[in-house]
Amino acid sequence: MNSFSGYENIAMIEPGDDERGVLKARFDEIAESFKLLLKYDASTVSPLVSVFDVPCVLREDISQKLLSREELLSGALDSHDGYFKVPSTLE
Amino acid sequence: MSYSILLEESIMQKGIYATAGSKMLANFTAPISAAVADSLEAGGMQIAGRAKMSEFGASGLYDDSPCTLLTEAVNAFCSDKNDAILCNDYTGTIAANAARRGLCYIHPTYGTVSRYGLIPAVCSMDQIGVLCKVPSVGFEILAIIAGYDARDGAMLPSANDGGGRTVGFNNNDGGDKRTADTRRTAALPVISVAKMPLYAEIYRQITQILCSAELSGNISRYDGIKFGYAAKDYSDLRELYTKSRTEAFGEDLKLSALIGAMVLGAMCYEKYYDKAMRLRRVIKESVCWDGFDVLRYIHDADGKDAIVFAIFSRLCGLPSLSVQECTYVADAGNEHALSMIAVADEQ
Repeated sequence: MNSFSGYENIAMIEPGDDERGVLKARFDEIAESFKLLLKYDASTVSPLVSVFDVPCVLREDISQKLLSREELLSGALDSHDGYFKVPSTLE
Repeated sequence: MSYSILLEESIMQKGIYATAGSKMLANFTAPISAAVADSLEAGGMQIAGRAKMSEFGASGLYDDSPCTLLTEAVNAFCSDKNDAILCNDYTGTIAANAARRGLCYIHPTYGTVSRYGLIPAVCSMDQIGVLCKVPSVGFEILAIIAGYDARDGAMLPSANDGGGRTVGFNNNDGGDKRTADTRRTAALPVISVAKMPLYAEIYRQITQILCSAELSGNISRYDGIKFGYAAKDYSDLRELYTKSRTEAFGEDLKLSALIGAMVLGAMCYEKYYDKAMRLRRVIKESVCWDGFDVLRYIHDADGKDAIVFAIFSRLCGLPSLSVQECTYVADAGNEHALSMIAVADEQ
């Protein structure tokens, strides 16, 4: 799926016709400018993932209680018996 | 001394709204307080309220058009009684705005200020900095909020410090660069000359690729279910996701989600995202500190390139000080050198 509508699908965005026209024009212009990068060679170095190359050290797996269940659910669209409630996904 | 400080709307304070400038979080009340908010209170500072921000701080990422909200926030700060605003300026837009308005923005070394309780945007560049009127006040505030916090997984263990410092200059200065700044650098022992940052001509593309990829990932959590805005009319789960995001996100956020989907997709990952990460390493490793401690980049007459130098410091994770006519950049953990310059400037 390598098209604007494909990216809309991945991003879960569905703009109306007017907004879509504006977004697509900006998207195309930006995507075109990315081609500038192709002129540069960086094949001899590795990708920089962290600016200071701090090694990823796994922390001890210690259970901590940061928020209560009520606090976690306080901003939810809907909840039931202490769980997030979502619209049905099957007919 | 106690200062009056505003927090950008992406920095949480328990029980107070934290919108990150987005309709998506318009009804969101923070369940925790950010580490910086706790540090300010423990340090005797007064948190005076919230400062407006562009949606997830993304203004200026895709074009140069001024963000009304950001401009209004900076203008309001110029004339109010508050001493500083804490912000997450990963795009460099706030620093550039500050420089144009005669204010000062201090961007700390990546990993020196805890981001616990900051609504994430671009994790590899997110860093809370200080927008202030008087640089020495900004550095006092930075000293209060800096420090290791195990709750932020990308923190540096400590920052280095030292004695006398050396300043390097870029080539935009014109004339005799060394004699032109004798007054400013009187407190510093030696002056060297530095060149423009490598690949400055493609900073915009590199930041757009990296920021879009990370921002699109971070905003994927907003789906109308767990918290934030939820669309009213929907027939199934997918429609709830899509309508909520479409109705709540502004144009720049939609664009970041779309560009993120593109650069992280199989067709473009190596060509753009992987390439941008490699170029970021080349840029970072091109900085040589042999012989000087601070790079000084002079802004052009209209201050438009202030953002280029700000982006340079964010790409490299380096501390920087943006003031009216220039941006100073120091090596990682060397905020002390920047504060020396700021104090010399004030005197």
